[in-house]
Order: sequence, then C-alpha cells, then structure tokens
Amino acid sequence: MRDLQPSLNQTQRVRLQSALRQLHSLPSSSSSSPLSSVAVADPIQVNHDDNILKGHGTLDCDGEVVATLCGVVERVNKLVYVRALRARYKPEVGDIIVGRVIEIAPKRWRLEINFSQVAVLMLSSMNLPDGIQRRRTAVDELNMRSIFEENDVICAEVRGFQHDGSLHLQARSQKYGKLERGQLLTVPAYLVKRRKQHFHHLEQYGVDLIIGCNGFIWVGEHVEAGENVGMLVEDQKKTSTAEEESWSFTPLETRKHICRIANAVRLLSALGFTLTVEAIVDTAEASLASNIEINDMLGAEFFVQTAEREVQRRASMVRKKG
Amino acid sequence: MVGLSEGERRFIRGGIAQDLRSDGRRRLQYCPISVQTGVIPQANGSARVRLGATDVIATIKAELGKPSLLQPDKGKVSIHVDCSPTAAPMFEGRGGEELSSELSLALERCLLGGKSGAGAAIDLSSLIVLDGKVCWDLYIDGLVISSDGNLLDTLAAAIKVALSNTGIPKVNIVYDGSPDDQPEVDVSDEEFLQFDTSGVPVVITLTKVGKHYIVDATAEEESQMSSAVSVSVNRNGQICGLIKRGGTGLDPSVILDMISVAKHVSKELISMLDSEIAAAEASDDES
Repeated sequence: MRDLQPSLNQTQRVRLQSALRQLHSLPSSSSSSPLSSVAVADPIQVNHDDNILKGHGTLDCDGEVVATLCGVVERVNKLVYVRALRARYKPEVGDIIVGRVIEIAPKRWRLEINFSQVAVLMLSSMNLPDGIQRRRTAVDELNMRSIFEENDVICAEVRGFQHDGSLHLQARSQKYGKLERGQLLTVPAYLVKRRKQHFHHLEQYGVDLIIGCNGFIWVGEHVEAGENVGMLVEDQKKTSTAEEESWSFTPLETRKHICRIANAVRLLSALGFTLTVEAIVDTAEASLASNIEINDMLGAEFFVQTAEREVQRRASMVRKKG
Repeated sequence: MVGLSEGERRFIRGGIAQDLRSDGRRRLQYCPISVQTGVIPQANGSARVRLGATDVIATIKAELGKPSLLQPDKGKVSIHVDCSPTAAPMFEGRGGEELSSELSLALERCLLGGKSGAGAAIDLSSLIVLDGKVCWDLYIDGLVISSDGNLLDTLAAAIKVALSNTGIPKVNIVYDGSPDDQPEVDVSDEEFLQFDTSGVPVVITLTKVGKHYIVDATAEEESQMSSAVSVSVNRNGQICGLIKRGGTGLDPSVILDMISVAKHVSKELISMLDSEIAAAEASDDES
C-alpha cells in the first residue's frame, strides 16, 4: 500500500487541518441509532440481569464488561462485541473481490486477496472457455494454465468458508473472470463499504471500475461481459512483436480517463475517505473542471481542495436532513 | 515485489509508449520530491528525501583520522548504503546485501571521482587539518526506508542535500610535536565549516522500456525494463559517472541519446534540489 504524502506548505497545512476538524465536528449522517464508540478500557453498558455473551474485543473485569479495542459496540441478541474500525478485511459470503493468482494447485487456483489466508478458486467453480457445462476431465486440469496463469488478476465472488477458515470463491457468471487492460490499486480494506453494486461501468469515460470489498480496486478499459477469456490468451501469444502490440494498446483518451480515476482513488484513500463511486467520479470531474494535469491530482493543492470539497458536501447533506 | 499479470504489463508498456504513465506523469517527469534536512541530530549532516513512494535517509558523520600515506594532503570519504528490511520483504536478513553493495559502488563512482581524488564532488583537500597527520574522515551512510524504484537517484539527491546540511567543526592545532607524534587538536564546538554543494552532481536513471526511456521509474515499471543507464551530471552539464544495468545490449547511438536526455533532465532536477536546499536552509535560519 503506497501512502501518498504530499509536502504541504504552511497555508495548505492550516487549511487541511481546519477541514479535517470540521469533518470531525459534523454529525455522522449515516446511522439512525447513535453509534456508541468505545476506546480501550471503556466500560460497556450491559444489562447485568440477562446472560450476556461477551464477544470479540470485550473483557470481564471485576464484573464490568470492558472494551479491549477501540471501535464501535455491536449488539446482536445476547452477543455484545466491539468491532474495530480499522480492521483487516473480514470476508462475508457474497462479497465481490479482486484477487491475484499466486499458485496453481491440483484442480484449483490459490489467490491472494489481502486476507490472513489464501483464497481458493476451484476449477469446478469456473466457467470453461468454450462455455459448455460439463464434467471437468483430466485434460481440463492440465490446461488450467490456459485459463488463469500465475500473477493474473481475477474478479470473483465469495462462495463460502471452509471448516479451517479458508475462503472459497466462485466465478461462474460472465462478469467475473480475468481482468486485463488496466491497473490494480490497493487501498485499506476498511475504506470500502459493502454496497449493492461493485461493478461500475462509467459510460462517459469508457472505463470499468471494480471496487473489491478486500481493498483491491481495478480500473481498466471497458470490456463487454462475456468476451471469451480463452481466446484472449491465444491472441496474446501471437502478438509478440512490438508493432503488432502497439495497435492493441489502450487508446490515449481512455487511458487518460483511467489515470484520472486511478489518481482519484489514490487521493481519496490517502485522505481516508470512504471509497464510493460517487466520491471517485466527483473527484475526477472536479479535476477535469479545474483543468488540473493528471499527475498534479496527487499534488498538495488538489489534496487540500478535495478535503475542503468533502467538508462542503457533508455540510450540505446535514443541512438537507436537518 | 508483487508479480504483475500479462495484461497489467501490457498496460504499463502501452502507457510508456503513449507518454502517459500509470499515475499520469509524462515519460521525463519526476514524482513530487519532498526534502527534510537535519533529521538525525547526532550526525554532522543528514537529509531525508521522498521521491514518490521511495524514501531514503542520508547521514554524514565526520571523524578525525590519519590521511593515507599516498595522499597526505587529502581527507577520506567512504559511502555505504543499507537497504532496510522495512523497505521490502526481500531485504530481510542478507537479502539486501547485493543491492546495497551495488548502490554503494555506483555512488562511489559518481561522487568520489578517480583514485587520486580528482574530479570528486567533494573537495578532499578541504578535509585536511594537518598535512600528513590529521584529516577528517567522512562517512556517508544511506538508508533505504521504502523502496519503490529509482533508488540510485533518490540516494544521490539525499547525499547532495545532506552535504549541504553538514557542518564540520573547526579544528585548532594545540601542540605540534615531533614529526612522528600525533599532534593534539582542539575541536571547537562553535564554529563550523559548511560545504558548497553546488558542484555535487545528481544521478539521473533512464529506464528503457520498449523503444522509449522514462525517468524516475516505479518498481512496477522497473520490472518491465530492458536496460537502464544511470548518468551522473553536475551543474555544468558534465558527466561525472555512467552505469549501465540490465541484460539487453544497447546500440551506442542509443546510449549517446540517453546521455543527452539525461543532461536535459538534470537541469530541472538540480534546480529543484537547489531550491529545496535553500528553502530548508531558510527555515533552519528562522528556527
């Protein structure tokens, strides 16, 4: 995870600090019930008559239930636990994730997904290149490398957990599969919240944006769902000379948009703001509107301007609600 | 270093061919540079330079020593680079030693000139206290904290800035006995000698990917390189050192072209570093 730390001059530092202070003072508009945030050794309010189950992040200290993490208290029936805000990625069934193949094992691929364990994608959970539904034979197993190789970037969905805690993925739909023609960005996983949609096709830019719940974000040229993965691999092997490769490069206009969106993601993750499509597209549009060069988006001035813009946006939202 | 898929590699190569890299930079554009001086107060001079995600610290320590018999009128300088395991997992244990020795050797060639000390960036005669008896030994150490490509350029820039921050204490010779004895010296705490770093060269590394050269490559772009040429240029546009890395052979005309591109880029980098040094000195004077 590369951290962006622009060198700010004195006025910019003052502006940034005041913007961050204002963001802290604005009331949180997302939740309906008040969030009870606790720090380490804060007591947690419990009704001592019920048999409360003390979950993760809590400790029974002299009859008092005390928090051992800094986070938010969650209550589910009789279970009370503390959910840390900056936790590692915690997968749930149905999460869309982006991962990188690190190993090919018998009948499965092992993927790195920014989790404590390696995720597994079974050969049977993957559509075959010819699209026919059939039993996987030994020949299919030998040809696994023609579908996904080592270091390939893949988009998949969490199918479930094994008894030892490792993750199983599936990539049966056409929208899942190998991702090419773009760049992969890594952000802290807690900045990505679960939403209804994680695949975004930004039409005005011609760019595909896939926000993986594990913090891997793919920004790339738009590819129609259903383009055959197997055929693409054969094409690559043929176009080995430089001239043939040059006409298969991404066109410059699309590349500019990809770079702008990627820089918007880097900027928002450096500021610690939640990554939503609206925020990313807003930042990219603001940079286009103020005619900033693409690489200047990572500079000090735009950094501070983005923080100030976020303050204004949240202030106007609070005003609308109140 | 995480591996890259074939699709990502093509994207990077396409970006370099179209003059628009992954973070929007042009081919010959540097990342934003951030410079801090005096980060290690115990050293005579120190600097921390951040070039994009690459972060290095350079320190200069001066100790009194005896000059070598072959050059009794010159001080001694030695450069050593250490790649910290916090920079990359492969630097753990002895993994970073090969890279460290390669970087140290490259920097010595660029900054220390020939065997007699001619052409060195630092005037070695200014380090002498008493001919043949006492001289200053400068130990220049570089520490790589975060590695994202382009280590040589960043280390050379850090050494240049650290030299500008260095103060060598003035030495008064108290008693000069017989020619064989070591004289007694009094190292003053108050007065300091500063170096003039306008003559110190910078290193520009040009990485060749496909048919084009880029400056300030990230680690991903460096994984795609066919070869890289590091040119050390001083403010007069003279070449102080030249290193070629990478397995692919280069045509001599390509090397000449890369040298002229490096000369052109060096003007911008030298002026950027000089202004950062001046700004750091100004803020030091204020505080």
